Amino acid sequence: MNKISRRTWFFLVIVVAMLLLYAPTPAKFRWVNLALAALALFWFILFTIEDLIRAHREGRRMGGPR
Amino acid sequence: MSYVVVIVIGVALLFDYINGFHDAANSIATVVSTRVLTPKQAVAWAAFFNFAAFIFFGTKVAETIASVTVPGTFNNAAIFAALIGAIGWDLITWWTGLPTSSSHALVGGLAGAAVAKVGWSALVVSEYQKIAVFIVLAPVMGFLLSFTFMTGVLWLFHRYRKVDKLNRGFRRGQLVSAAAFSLGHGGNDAQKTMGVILTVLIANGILTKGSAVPVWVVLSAHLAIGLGTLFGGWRIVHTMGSKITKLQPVGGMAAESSAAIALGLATFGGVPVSTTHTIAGAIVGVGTTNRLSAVRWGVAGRVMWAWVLTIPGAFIIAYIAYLPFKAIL
Repeated sequence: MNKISRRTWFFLVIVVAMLLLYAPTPAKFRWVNLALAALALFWFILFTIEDLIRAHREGRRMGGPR
Repeated sequence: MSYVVVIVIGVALLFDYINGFHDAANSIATVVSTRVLTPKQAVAWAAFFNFAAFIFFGTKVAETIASVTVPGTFNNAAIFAALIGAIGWDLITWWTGLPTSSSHALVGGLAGAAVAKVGWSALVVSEYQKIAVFIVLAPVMGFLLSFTFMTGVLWLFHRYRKVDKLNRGFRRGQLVSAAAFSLGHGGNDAQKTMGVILTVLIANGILTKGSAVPVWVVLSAHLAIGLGTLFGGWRIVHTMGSKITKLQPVGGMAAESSAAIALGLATFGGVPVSTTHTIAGAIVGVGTTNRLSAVRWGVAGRVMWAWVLTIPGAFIIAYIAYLPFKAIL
């Protein structure tokens, strides 16, 4: 779990917050919640991939030829 | 128009002036902190676009403000108490250097005076629900847009070697983004005062419910906020411009453009949002592109507490301010 940075988790928190606010948001403005959740999800996925690739590279470097 | 109505409208315009004075920091903090403009130039620039905003935006936000309580709730004394609550809270937070929202202070003040006069049944829950949801949505929108904008710019130009030339371009861009943000600020915030004046005029039978906002109200509200910005306070500039995160011209441009887009969308949708929250969210978004620890979360947390306390704070001041009137009337 600690392969993923705090910044990445932060975007997931935003996704969850936007979805939790979906119900109390007036119907006319719900698209705002969805658009923001989608944008935050996009960054969450992108940063998760980046974090995992970085962790994989660091792992290889540590266990590489001596 | 009786002299009481003139006095209450005068206090509403005073609130608008203080709003500009208090929120001038939001419009100019990033341009000043990145040294694109001197403080005096920045203030004049923002004030002009605050005033010019009346050309671009309608009066939907004003209509929302005029409908946060059930018709017939307000009389002159209640509106006066509401404004005392909003102005009082603005002055307290200005003095302590906290970038709180004048808009939420006004909403809290209106609610406090309405509850003191009629009771909780005076509040239109759906309107308050809309405003409350956007207390979260507006800064998140500022944050995500500025983060996306900034990441896009960094990605596009990361191989560009002529850093000086690039910085010059961004400094010019920041002039445009500061102007756009000031337009958004003027558009959303001046309309809140228009909403209050509209309520005064309806409460006194000068206009009927559902009337359009008169042109003199539109112009005077924009003039008051523009003048307030022109004589704006400097305490909050420091918190907004340098304490939350350190900004470069490109970051300032990203923050202001994103906040301007968020404000514009909210204004066209008729939602009274906080310009302060929106730009603070956008500044945090720029800081986060560096790394999460580039944001001074202690300062950001202090700012958030001030946000949370704004509506209750203004509510209590307005409630207390109305009590003497209640005893007399």
